[in-house]
Amino acid sequence: MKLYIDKRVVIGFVTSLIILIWLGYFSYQNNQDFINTRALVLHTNEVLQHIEQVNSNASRTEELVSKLVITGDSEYLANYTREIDKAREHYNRLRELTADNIEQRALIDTFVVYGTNKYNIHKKIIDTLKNSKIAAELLLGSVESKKTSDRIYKVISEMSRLEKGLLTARVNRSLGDMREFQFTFSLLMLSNLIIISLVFLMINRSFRARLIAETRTKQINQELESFTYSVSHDLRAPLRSIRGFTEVLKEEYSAKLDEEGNRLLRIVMNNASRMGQLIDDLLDFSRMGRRELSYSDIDVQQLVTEVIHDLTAHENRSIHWDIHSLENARGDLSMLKQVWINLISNAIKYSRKTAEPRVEIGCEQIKGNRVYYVKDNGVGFDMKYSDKLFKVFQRLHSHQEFEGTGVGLALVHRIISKHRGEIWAESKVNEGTTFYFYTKSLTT
Amino acid sequence: MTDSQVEILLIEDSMDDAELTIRALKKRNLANRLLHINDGEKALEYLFNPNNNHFPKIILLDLKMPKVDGIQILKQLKNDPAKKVIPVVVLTSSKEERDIVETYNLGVNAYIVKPVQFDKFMEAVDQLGMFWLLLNQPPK
Repeated sequence: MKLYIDKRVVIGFVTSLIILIWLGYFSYQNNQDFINTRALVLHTNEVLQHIEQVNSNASRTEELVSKLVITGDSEYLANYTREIDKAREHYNRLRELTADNIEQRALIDTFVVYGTNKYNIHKKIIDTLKNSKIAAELLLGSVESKKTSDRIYKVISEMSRLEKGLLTARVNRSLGDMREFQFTFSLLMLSNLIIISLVFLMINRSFRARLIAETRTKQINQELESFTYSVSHDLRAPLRSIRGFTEVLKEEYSAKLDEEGNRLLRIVMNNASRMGQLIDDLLDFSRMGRRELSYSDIDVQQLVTEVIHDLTAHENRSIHWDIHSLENARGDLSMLKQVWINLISNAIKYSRKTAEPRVEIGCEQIKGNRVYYVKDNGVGFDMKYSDKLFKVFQRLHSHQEFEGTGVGLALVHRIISKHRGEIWAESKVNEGTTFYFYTKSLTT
Repeated sequence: MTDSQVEILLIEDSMDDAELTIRALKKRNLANRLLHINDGEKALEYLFNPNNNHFPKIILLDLKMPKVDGIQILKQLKNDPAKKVIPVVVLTSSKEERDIVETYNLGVNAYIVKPVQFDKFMEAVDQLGMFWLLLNQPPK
């Protein structure tokens, strides 16, 4: 792909695109982090909840054992066993939850050791109670029992403290990440905004420059056209006098001039006529440049028939016409009529020296375009000069051979270009020429 | 020649063009009652002179003239209820000029491309139905 825009615009555009992709990725990443942190916070909360439970289990078992010793009610014993089971459950869950945390794991293990000790003490108390209530009370109040309890609570509070610390750290880190994200996001967004604004300004500037250039070109073209017009127009006035008065001279003084004088007069008249023709053609050419196209549907078959009729009205030679079916076209009627007039009159003119002149006109589809062609068996031209064919005042034959000003085909080319079409020719010397052209309308 | 005798009014600033036109008409004896005015301003003065109630039968009008041009004269003629019926033949030097007049929609009766050829002039006169009016003049 060929780029017509400023390199800096492209760089700006690409940079802004990269930043945008980065922003997207960055946001996704941040979101993912947020989800992770949230999961971790939930996890920590769960751990804390279980620690809390374990803590309450511990105090409840203690309480139940005391009540059992005091009342001897076996109901308390059943409750006690249930409480121990619950404690085990929480403890197992805790172990699972803290599988990735060595420090917490160690604390849990310590808790297990003390918990087992306490459990053994309780077991001993319960066993002793079967024999002596006093001995059991003594054991209940023993230093060892109290010490073990203290240790258990200490470990539990240690565990709780550790987990809470973890929670705070996680929340703080999450907050920090969030702030960092917001800052970077805003920064990237701002830089993107600046880049896009700069790119916009650059595009605007280059567009304005182009607009100015276009206006200038249009203006120069108009000046040129009006210059051509007034030159051609004003040239006609003196030429008119030359022609008119030479005519008068010929009519009124021809008898007084000798043969040579009359010959010279004829040369002056012929050249004055030719110059008149040149100026007329040039005027037509300049008119065509300034005219706006007015589109309509054109019955080409009818148009061609009309043109041939008009052109052969004064032709005394018989020409064999081979007109194929011609599809309708869309374009400016008067301009396209001019095209047909010029091409057909050329075909007639350049086959004047052919013994049996024949002109073929038709249309065919070439590469998706409806191409019309005009083919003659006239004098033809050497294809190496084909680049001169459509240029103003360029001729491939002398005025003595075939009259003409060299504007006709230039005019045709101009009309076809205005219709966004193309025209080309194929020719062989002494065998004939074929002109091909197609036009494009705005609506199809 | 008094004003009442004028049948063809030629308004043309170029003396050369006027001479050729007059010659072409003279050859067919049509220039006897022709008045040539070589200035647009004077032409207006002549046409809109309140003391003159005789109008020419036909006006031959050149377009490109200094100060007052043919278009301005045409506009004034066509805005005047009494004078808008005078047939006006415009002398053009190109198709372009014809286009320019037509954009004004001024109701020109005929166009003749300069230099004025007699047969083209007669064609125009014929078109206007003035053939006998102008042609049936006794030669002087």
